[in-house]
Amino acid sequence: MYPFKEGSFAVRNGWYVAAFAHEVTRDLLSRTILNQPVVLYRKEDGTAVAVGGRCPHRHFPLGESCLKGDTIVCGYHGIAFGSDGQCVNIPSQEFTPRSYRIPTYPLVEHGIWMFIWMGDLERADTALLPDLEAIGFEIEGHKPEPFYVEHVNGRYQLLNDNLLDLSHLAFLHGSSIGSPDNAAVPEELVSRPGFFSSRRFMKNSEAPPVHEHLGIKDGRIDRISGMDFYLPGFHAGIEETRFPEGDAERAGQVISLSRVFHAVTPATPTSCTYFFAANSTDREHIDFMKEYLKPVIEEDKFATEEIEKMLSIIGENPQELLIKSDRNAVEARRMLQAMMDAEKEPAETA
Amino acid sequence: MPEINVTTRDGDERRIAIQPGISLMEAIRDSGLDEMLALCGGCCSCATCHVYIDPSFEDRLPAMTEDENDLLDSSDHRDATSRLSCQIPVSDELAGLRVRIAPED
Repeated sequence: MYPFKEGSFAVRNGWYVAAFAHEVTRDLLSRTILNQPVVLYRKEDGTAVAVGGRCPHRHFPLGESCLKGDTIVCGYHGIAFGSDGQCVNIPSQEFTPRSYRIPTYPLVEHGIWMFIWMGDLERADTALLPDLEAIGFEIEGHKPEPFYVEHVNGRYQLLNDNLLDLSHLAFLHGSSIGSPDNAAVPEELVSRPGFFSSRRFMKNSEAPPVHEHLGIKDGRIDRISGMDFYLPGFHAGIEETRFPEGDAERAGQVISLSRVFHAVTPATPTSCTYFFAANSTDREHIDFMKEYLKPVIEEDKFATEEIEKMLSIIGENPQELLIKSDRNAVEARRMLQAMMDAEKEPAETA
Repeated sequence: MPEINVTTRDGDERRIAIQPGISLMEAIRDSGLDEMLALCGGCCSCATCHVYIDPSFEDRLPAMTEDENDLLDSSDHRDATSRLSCQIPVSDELAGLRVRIAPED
């Protein structure tokens, strides 16, 4: 499916963010992940677990059921499942067949996120999680704040494409976090298996409108902007601004350092869940950003949903006139496609 | 199968077999040479499959379209032998062609 080959939906063997850690509580939380219904909750001992979200009896959503101890009791006919997925009680009969079970999925609390593995169990390796130090998780001892969870009616790759081409900041977000240099300055790229990174180094550049809040109106700044993509679904963004060389007194002095974290998790073939978090040296700035970035993320959601509507009109795999700034998106798409192709190949026999 | 000679950006020469019916860009990519980005996949919108063609083969190539000409103008490395390889279908006639991959813009 667009923009991948016919029959390719998403990489299965990879860690995806299922929720922010704080969202997983003693209340059942429903999510659709890689076209599977999933329920997340914490056991009485505080451990977070993920199990299938559909009662195998009559397909009632287990997320709409209730938690008794560590057991989910289906809201329809009372069939109960333990956190290991095994059915422990069918109220209308004495015998509980062993075949009565729901799937369970590896779930890891990592940073402020809950990462889930929906693929082959034997390949679930926590060493494949994005390294917290590498993503710049903490700044001056501060952890990032989870900002928003958005249910987006558009396929996940539209958001990945968006995050892989930050030249859109100059236009879609020109009234807030973007400036013309976000499109005009060339990028520096690094890629290796499972990872893709881009940086723009903007010297003596027009400060984007958001800097008014930091006391810089119509000024010039030095700015580093970039994004690191940890395939298949996690992006760590970097934004650093400093006073420019021309500033006699403050040249090189930091104005603000911030990190943004975008996790994009496929839900259905035409929808996804988008988790956004941010961190900054300036803690007041964090509270400000939580309000300020809301409409910015809404702009990305808007673009994604409108493109999804367009695809529903014109059909899958339209010809698209790609341009040079699509390099990152095209390379990342190719990497994801190769991962999907590898999953389709029959397992090698020794 | 006919063969052509491709010179990479490092100056390495490779002989590759060509399957008539595909584009020169696809023939180079399918041979395992991956230094040419060929982002747009042949839509003639990105100019990332720029090559230099042996002038003695010029009369065996399709004429350049306005779209291709415009895109090549955007390259700092254009010369009289520049073409976009996605716009050249390969055929038996091109056996022995010498082509060099242009530097990245």
